[in-house]
Amino acid sequence: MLQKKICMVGAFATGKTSLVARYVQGIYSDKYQTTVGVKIDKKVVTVAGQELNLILWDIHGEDEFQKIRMSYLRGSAAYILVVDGTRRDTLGTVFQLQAKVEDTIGKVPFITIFNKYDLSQDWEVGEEDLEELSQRQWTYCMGSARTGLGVEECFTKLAQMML
Amino acid sequence: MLNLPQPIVTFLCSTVVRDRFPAYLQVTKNGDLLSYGGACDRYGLNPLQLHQSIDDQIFFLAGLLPLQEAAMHIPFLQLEDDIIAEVHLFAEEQHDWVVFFDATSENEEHVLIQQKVNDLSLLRRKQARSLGHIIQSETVAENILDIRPAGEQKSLSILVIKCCNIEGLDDKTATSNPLKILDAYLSAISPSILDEGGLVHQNIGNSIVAVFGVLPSTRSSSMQAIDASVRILQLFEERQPPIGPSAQCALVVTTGMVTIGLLQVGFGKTLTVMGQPMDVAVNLNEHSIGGTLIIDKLTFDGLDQRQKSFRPASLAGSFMTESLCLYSYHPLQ
Repeated sequence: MLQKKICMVGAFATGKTSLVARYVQGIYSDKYQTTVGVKIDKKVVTVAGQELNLILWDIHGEDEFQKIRMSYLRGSAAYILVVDGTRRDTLGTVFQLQAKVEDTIGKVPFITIFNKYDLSQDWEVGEEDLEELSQRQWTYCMGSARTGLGVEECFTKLAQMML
Repeated sequence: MLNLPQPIVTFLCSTVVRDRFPAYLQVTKNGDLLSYGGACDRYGLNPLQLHQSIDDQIFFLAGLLPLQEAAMHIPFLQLEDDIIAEVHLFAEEQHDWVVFFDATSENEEHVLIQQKVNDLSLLRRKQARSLGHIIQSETVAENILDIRPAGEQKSLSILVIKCCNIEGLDDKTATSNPLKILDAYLSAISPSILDEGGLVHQNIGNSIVAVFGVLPSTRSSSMQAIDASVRILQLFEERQPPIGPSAQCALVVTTGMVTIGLLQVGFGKTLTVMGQPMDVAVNLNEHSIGGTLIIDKLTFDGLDQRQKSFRPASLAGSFMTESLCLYSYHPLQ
């Protein structure tokens, strides 16, 4: 079976761990628990008739104290940039991180997910932000680890991009 | 190697190594498991089959071996539910080695601290956002800011921050979207103001005007403004994104009585600050140069031991300099 390493990358508290938990185990907790270091998970999926073993690296969020070690991304077949749609500055963080990741592992498929889409009253990401992503030709989707909206689709889309 | 006496070596082996449940894997450059040992079970590294692909047996190693560099360190890696491993990978000519230590208790300590830091960051953001909403609401603003509707005299500190040499904003380097660059700078600076209890009063071009003393605080407005200024200077020194390689900031703080009120502008009310300290701060800032922090005498008088970091100064080009007693910031080594 083909193994594909996928890294979750983004600012702290954007919901990387929750997205993985929703995708792999189908569960969600409202309690925010920070990730220190790396959590590894896996999920076997079938895409276009091919079985894939997705190895998910849930890497701690980037903040002023914890910087993401780019060596963690070595061997990645793809990565997911996670933005908290209720904190527009987390989009700036993924712009910076994406450049660093590409410097480290080169051009591999990636997708941006705007998490917490269920919190529409607090939504900060605007049309012009999405326009910028389109100009950069980034693939993106809206999602919610809480409701499950868009999560499966996001991972499936990325898996398709890897094949 | 270190010329340590045997009792020390024994002690280190028993406490630093044995009690941390070491385990190891030896992997060929082709990616096959050559040998293993130690507390592999503890990390869920079982069953292991020699001379078989390591990627198929230990999935987190997929893509990492053979090592591209001499060594790699993962301080905290969660494989099993409750066990966190510290993982060292290092290369030899013929093989790669992977060494595991139990780092569960160290991880717990880190998580406690990091959780607190992240919670506070989120709280700070939420408060700043709430405050922004509150100020837009006239009635609540009057209550929270404790400002009489007709305006009043109040002693405040004014901080003016001018961003200079920003790549992409200058005439020579102007990009298609300079506002976006400016927005990134202002967003990076604002938390330092909010954290010290200040309010971002307005943005004028590439300058920010902040006021201190409007919101209740146990510190003097001078000290709040200086602490915010020092943090902003550090921000520019550290050059973390979005602060560019040539960007600088010029800061001026003045203190004194101003008239503060909520002025009807169009359909809403905005916080208005008028008076000599505001005029002086803006004028001085126009003539100050990047990387400096200039303060007036009243601000200086309102400081505690922070006074030691300031020396008398003058500012060329400003008509106000002669009549004002100014100080510039020189951090103590």
